[in-house]
Amino acid sequence: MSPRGPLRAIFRAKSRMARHGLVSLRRESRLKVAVVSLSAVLLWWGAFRLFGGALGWLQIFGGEAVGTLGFSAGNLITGRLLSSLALALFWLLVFSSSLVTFATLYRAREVRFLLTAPIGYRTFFLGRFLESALLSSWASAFLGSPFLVAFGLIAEAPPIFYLGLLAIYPLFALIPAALGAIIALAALRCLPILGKRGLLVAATVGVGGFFVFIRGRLAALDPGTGASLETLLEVMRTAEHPALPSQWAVSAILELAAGSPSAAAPPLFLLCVAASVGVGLATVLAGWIFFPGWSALQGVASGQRKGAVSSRGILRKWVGPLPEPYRSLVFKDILLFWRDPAQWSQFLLFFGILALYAATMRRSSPAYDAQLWRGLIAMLNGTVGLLILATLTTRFLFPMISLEGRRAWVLGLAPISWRQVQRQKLWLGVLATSGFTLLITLVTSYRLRLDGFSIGVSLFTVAVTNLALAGLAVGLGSLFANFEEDNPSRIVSGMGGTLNFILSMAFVVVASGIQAALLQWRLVARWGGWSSDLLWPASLGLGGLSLLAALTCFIPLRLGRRRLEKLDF
Amino acid sequence: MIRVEQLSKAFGPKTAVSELDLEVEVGEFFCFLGPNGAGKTTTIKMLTGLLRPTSGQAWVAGFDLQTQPLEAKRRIGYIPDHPFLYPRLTGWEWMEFVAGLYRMPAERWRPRAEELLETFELSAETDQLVEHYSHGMRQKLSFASTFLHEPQAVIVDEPWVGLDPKNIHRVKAFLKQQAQLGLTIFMSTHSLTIAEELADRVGIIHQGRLRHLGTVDEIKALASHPGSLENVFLELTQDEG
Repeated sequence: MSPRGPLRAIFRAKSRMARHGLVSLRRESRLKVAVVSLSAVLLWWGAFRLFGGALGWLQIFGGEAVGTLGFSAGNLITGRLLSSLALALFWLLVFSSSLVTFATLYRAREVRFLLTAPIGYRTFFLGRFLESALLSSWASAFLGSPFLVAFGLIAEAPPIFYLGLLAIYPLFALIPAALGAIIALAALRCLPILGKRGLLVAATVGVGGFFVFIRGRLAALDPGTGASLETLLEVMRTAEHPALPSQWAVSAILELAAGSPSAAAPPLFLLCVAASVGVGLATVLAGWIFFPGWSALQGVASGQRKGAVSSRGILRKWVGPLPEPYRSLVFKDILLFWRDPAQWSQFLLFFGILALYAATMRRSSPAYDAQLWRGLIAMLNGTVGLLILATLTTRFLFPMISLEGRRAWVLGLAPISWRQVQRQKLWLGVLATSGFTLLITLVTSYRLRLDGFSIGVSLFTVAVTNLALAGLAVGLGSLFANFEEDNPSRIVSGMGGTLNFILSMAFVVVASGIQAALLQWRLVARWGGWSSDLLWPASLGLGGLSLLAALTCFIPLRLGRRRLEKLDF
Repeated sequence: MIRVEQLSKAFGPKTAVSELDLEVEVGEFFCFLGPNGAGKTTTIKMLTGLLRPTSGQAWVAGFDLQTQPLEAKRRIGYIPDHPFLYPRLTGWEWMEFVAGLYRMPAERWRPRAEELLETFELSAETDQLVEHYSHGMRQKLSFASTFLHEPQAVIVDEPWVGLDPKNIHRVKAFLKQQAQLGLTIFMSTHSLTIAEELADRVGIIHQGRLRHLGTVDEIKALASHPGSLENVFLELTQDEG
């Protein structure tokens, strides 16, 4: 019998683990599994309906042929929208892949074991790379699929379109995954040359430069002028550059939707070549530079931390007024968070996106003179901020209890109740996220010149959503705690993380709906034939939102606490 | 079997291991002793290919760990203090996975795996997921898988964590038997009584430098007062100044 290849052994072990994981679902409560599955289906269905409605509206909006060219403005906008979304997704995947690669290639516990085995660094890289590509791209596949299916139905695409998507997405996702891996490998290789601080500065300059570039592009948009649609389409046109892999994917999608598989072949071929070259290049590079980077990182971990003493001192002062045991728990959580670049860099990225959004917003625009536009923009602001908040709490707060890991017995045996541990994580989360989200809401409201009532409603919605989503994340994080796993990306990818994300999104939809109704009450009242007086709707809306937030926060916390209290250590 | 020449490792300004020279013969049971932070783990990481030395060279079975790492690793078995195992694999699947990493054909690894699992009293649990194993069982599975590919040299870092006295006795007997069969063992431990019992030679590292090297009797003779290896170790590793 021929010898087994190490790569085959790794993939076989991974597929067996996935199978055992699925089988272990049988041991989970049926209610839990049913709730998660149903919620996932509902989220998918909700997104599908929403995207379907939006794409349908675009077709109606620009359905008639324009001028002598005979093409539909709706098709033009849809095409450019697809290209822009694909390009944005491409860069998001590059960033998330570089962080996930850092975690799976350099930080995961199994890395040390694999490196003592006689497998080359290229084999090792390939074995880990596919896992990191999967971890960094599954969520976008889940959230992107309703959009593409809705698009297929609107475009009356043939069955080959849906089959083609199964090939296009993995090929497309491999390209940013490979690029992200190359960035991570190169950054770690530069560690001995630049040092930790130098690397941090280089990363900040790189990401900052990217944000400035994007801001420059977006600044060209002016929703207030009559030419805004034209300008918007012009800016979106840059996403259609033929050299962009995202555009190859979009071209293949559009051709398949139009029922021309032969025309889809060239962009599909380009995707295939780019994915192969990208993965090949990353693999070759890993063979050269992975080990020096890994070895240098071990040095950083073992070396003395310059400035760590003074930063610890500052942090101690900040948490000083807190009573024990909260002080020690908060101190520990912030310190561990700060020492894990994969954690704080993603946190910064989320707020970077929000800050970019706020910075791009114009201080004055003729569009802001219209109450309707102001209300709509304020509502979209709020929704975007809250959606990012939902992602944040799922990504960072949900795994916090699980990340206590094998040290959870320390908390289990200490004279601290699980209620106190949950309370500490809840308020730490609420404070960390509210600071940023309230500030950004305030800044955007100021820029939009909203009236006091609208500012108040926006701030109130953001504040209660912070509490609800933090409670939901800590509660479900306790209920689905996985103390065996130390990779937050994997913890979040499980059943509990999925449920948390879905319920968070559902809460955001409800909260945004209430906010929208209050900000546009005149329209709503006219449509429903109600009084335009705001007292009762505001009291009912905000009161109902508060009640919903309290239930969303405290029910999962209670369920989670019950589970933690039953744990054996 | 294991040869180290002028091996050094510095982490920034801190030198963890400094100009280490050492040779461990085929079939020798070598114990590497030293207080916490002396440089034992750093040395082991360099010998297993987990760390790149700042200077110097290391060979295992004649293969340079820098230039021929795969050849060297093929001949090494490594047992860390806290072994890694995939919790969602069964014991048998773990053995199969390790066999795959070492490119072992089925006709070679299957009988060997059965024999080792029998030796470490895990045969009855091979179909259970590792996540259901106790710490001691995980440690024993790690031992069994380390010996699966019949290494020529085994590097062991504090292997007694989580083992009960019966299993410590079994592991000691197993290691001794393997050394008699020609296996080279390089063991880092804080258990001086076990080192005294098993070691053919002992090396004491302190503040990154190999301070003393010799048989247990030779090391004992270095102390101002004759006594157990523990007393001698404490005297030899007293901080200077």
